[in-house]
Amino acid sequence: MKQLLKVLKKGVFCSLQDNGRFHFRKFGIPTAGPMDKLSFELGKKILGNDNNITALEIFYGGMSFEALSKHEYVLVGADMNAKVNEKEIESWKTFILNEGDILKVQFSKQGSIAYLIPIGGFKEESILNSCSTYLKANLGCNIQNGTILYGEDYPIFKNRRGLFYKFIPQFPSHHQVRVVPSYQLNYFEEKDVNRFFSEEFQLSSGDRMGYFYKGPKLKMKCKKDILSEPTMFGTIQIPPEGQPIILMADGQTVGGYPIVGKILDDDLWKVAQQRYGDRISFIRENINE
Amino acid sequence: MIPVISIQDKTIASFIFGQEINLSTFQLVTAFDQFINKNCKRYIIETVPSYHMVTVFFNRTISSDLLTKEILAMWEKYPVGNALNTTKQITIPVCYEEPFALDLDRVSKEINLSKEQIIEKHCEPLYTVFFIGFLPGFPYLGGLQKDLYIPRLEIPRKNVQKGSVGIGGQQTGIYPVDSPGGWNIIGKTPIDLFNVKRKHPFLLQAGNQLKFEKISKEQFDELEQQLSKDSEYVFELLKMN
Repeated sequence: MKQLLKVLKKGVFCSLQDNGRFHFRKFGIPTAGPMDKLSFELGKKILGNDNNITALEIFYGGMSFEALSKHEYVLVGADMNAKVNEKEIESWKTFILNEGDILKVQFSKQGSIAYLIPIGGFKEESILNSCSTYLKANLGCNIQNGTILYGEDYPIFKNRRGLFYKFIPQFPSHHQVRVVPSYQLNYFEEKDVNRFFSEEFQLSSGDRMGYFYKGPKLKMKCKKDILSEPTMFGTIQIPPEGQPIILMADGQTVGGYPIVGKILDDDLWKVAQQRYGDRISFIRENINE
Repeated sequence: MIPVISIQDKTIASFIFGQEINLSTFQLVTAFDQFINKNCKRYIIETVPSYHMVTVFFNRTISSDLLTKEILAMWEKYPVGNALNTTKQITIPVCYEEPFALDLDRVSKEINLSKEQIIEKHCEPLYTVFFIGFLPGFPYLGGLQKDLYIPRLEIPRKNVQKGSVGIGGQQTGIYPVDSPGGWNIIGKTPIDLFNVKRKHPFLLQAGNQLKFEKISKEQFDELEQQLSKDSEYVFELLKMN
């Protein structure tokens, strides 16, 4: 094990994430793991690593690090105008930090989440079979200014590696995502459901637990007691005021609000990468037929 | 009983056994959860049971053949009867005294029962752990006596201490970790429902049966001290070995 980086500025929010924590949902522990799984997996591919390794997930940016040893990294996801010793570096392409180098991850213009992955991943204590951070249960590392991130000794590549431009995911300010309707969909007013699937919603706030959207309200046909039921990353809940909440990677395992449906796993990266003010359209996906 | 199947994604399906909270529906949920974890292990990652349904996370794309020809065909032959009888019964010690019983005085006035009566009524039933959720290891318990139904706090507390025992609405529960919360706090247990340092981090699981037992402040302090020295002692204490 070797010291890789010292966090000088922890930024808006960041956390260590591996593939996620499975088999504990029935005990109330969400899977956690990467919010944008597509970028995370592509980042691992660039490093030639298909194993379950741990990346630093950076929300919105504003971070800086000091390199404590020589190591090779890749930054993927939203382009956060990263600089090494004030010189710009490219996302989606590996780069080398030497001892003493300063890495600055600034702010993105498109997309909200970036992953910093060293070759071999970060080393972190595994709790309940995962290194993913889930702070509500005090699992994993609560990164502060001064936190040291560890890795393992790996030789650097002969040449820098990257991804062809056409494979790099784009994060425009509007996305369409597919929604599998819940059996509870007919609890809502029909005209509201039609508007839900035809109009746009705007992201107003959010974190790893849930994203809150604003748009046309969904009202229930009549006041109905909903039994709490299992929820997951992608579940769209409608609290009494009528505006949708999309549960994200750290979202609760069981919820009592009425549910419109679930966003397909394949489309969740698009949601995860939205920025406050970005718009989303929900497309009905009839998987049940 | 054949459940209604609701597909949620390519690899996620829910099996729905009713639309009410009752023991016969929950018996089916518990039996199905046991069945699918035992007999269909090779197809699944994990399951989450709740009052009326089991959500199953598969390790492959679901096909209608897998659901009907494999799973439902096997389920029809599964003996449902004993699902709940095989589960554990656990007694949780609770101190209903100061400084833990934050809301007991007010609750006593509001529902017109003496503190002793409230404690007696809280300790009397054998509760069922319907499922775990909301917080890591937090049990949704069924079986609270009607006399103890009381609205939740209008303004939730910013921080409720781990171990706090509360009542709210038609439910009673135990906070497994420090958390904001709106339940009326009537006591505290020195026992950790969730502790990653233990060999078995989670004390409870869906289907368990649970009783509360009144302890004094002195007993609370003694137990807390013993448990802080040896977190595994909890299993000996609760005779769960």
